[in-house]
Amino acid sequence: MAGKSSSKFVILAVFANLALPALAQSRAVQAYPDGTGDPDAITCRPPQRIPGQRLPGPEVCKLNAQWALLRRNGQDISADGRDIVADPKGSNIKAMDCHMQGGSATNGGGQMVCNTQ
Amino acid sequence: MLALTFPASAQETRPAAPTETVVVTGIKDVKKAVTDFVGTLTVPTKMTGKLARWRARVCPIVAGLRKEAVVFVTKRVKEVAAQVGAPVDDNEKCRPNIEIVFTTTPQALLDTIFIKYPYLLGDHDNSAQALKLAAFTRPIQSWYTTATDDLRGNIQVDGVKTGGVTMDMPFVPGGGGGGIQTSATGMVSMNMPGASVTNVTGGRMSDGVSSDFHHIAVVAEPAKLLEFEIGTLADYIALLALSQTPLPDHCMELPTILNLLAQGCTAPPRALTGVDLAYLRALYKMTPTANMRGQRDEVIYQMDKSLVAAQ
Repeated sequence: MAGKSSSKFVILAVFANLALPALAQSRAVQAYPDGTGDPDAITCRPPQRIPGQRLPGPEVCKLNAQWALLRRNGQDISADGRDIVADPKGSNIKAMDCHMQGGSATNGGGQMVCNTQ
Repeated sequence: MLALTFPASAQETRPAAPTETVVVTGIKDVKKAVTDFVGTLTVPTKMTGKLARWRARVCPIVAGLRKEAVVFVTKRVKEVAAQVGAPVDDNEKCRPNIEIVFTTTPQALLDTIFIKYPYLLGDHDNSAQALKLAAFTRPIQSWYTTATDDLRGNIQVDGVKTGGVTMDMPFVPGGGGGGIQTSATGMVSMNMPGASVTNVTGGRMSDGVSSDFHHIAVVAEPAKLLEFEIGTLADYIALLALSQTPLPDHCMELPTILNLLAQGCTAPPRALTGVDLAYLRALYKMTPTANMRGQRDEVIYQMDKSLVAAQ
């Protein structure tokens, strides 16, 4: 009976891990991942020193798309790998080169034009 | 901490006691309206192609509101769950599986989810899909993490990496390909990273596999919801927290609280309607292992039984 009932069962292998396809790929290592490259590839940041502790934090691996969003938001992952913190390299806003265009020195007018450097 | 309008009495916003029969007025063809309603609201999961519902006992947690509002919303979601036949965890210290967050910075929260817990956004194939899922575009939105429950009761959260599967088969000359290794014993080993094993009956009507909710996140932006009482919002959230509900862009013909935030609806309901409750009851009555078509038919049948057109 047991054999009969178990023969009803068909075992199927389902490709379940569609959400994380990049995990099967090789991982790049960068000291400061900026999220460039294939958004579904994984880039790892080597362990960083945690202030006041002897042992370094963990290696932090994320999809490039995740690193890119962090950088766009001016953020980073903390050295202990747990939290999202402000990017220690400063703001993600690039320095601007601004100058007046049009108008005249005596009358003023014109408009400020800014370009990223 | 946000203070939304709180009703003078919690009873004010609650719908009447549930009845088995709901009279629908102003609709000529109720059957068609029900079919359209179910067609719009039912979304199959990617993994099984079936409707998901709670199998685990629901345990909502609310953040971002005053304490009394937190208690109110939590209680209301549990009440509606009990009313429609969803399992409820009555333990006050239960492990939350429905997270309801009111926040003034919803997109920042979604960005954090994308970076730290992308599986909470629901099943997706790549980062582009995940980013799209993580866009906050409505005043209230919900994200569903589902799990697949197989014939033997094995539960696998959808979209989460598995250990993979290795199959050993007799070697067939002339075959071969990536991931296949032959051994000295004449067997081939096929490695399928990320695959999982699901036990099924093999039947077409009901294969023994069902989809359950594993986690639901509901995010609301209070600044866009100031005109609504917390009771109305609690009812709206309850519907999102008990069914995988795509938010309609247009007004639905049947009266539903989902019309509350749909474009161009005149006088939408301010509480869960009989139609909403009939839908949820039908969802929690249907056969979880039936195929999608069978499940939809069951939901429509149950709703048809409950809804009667006014003469």
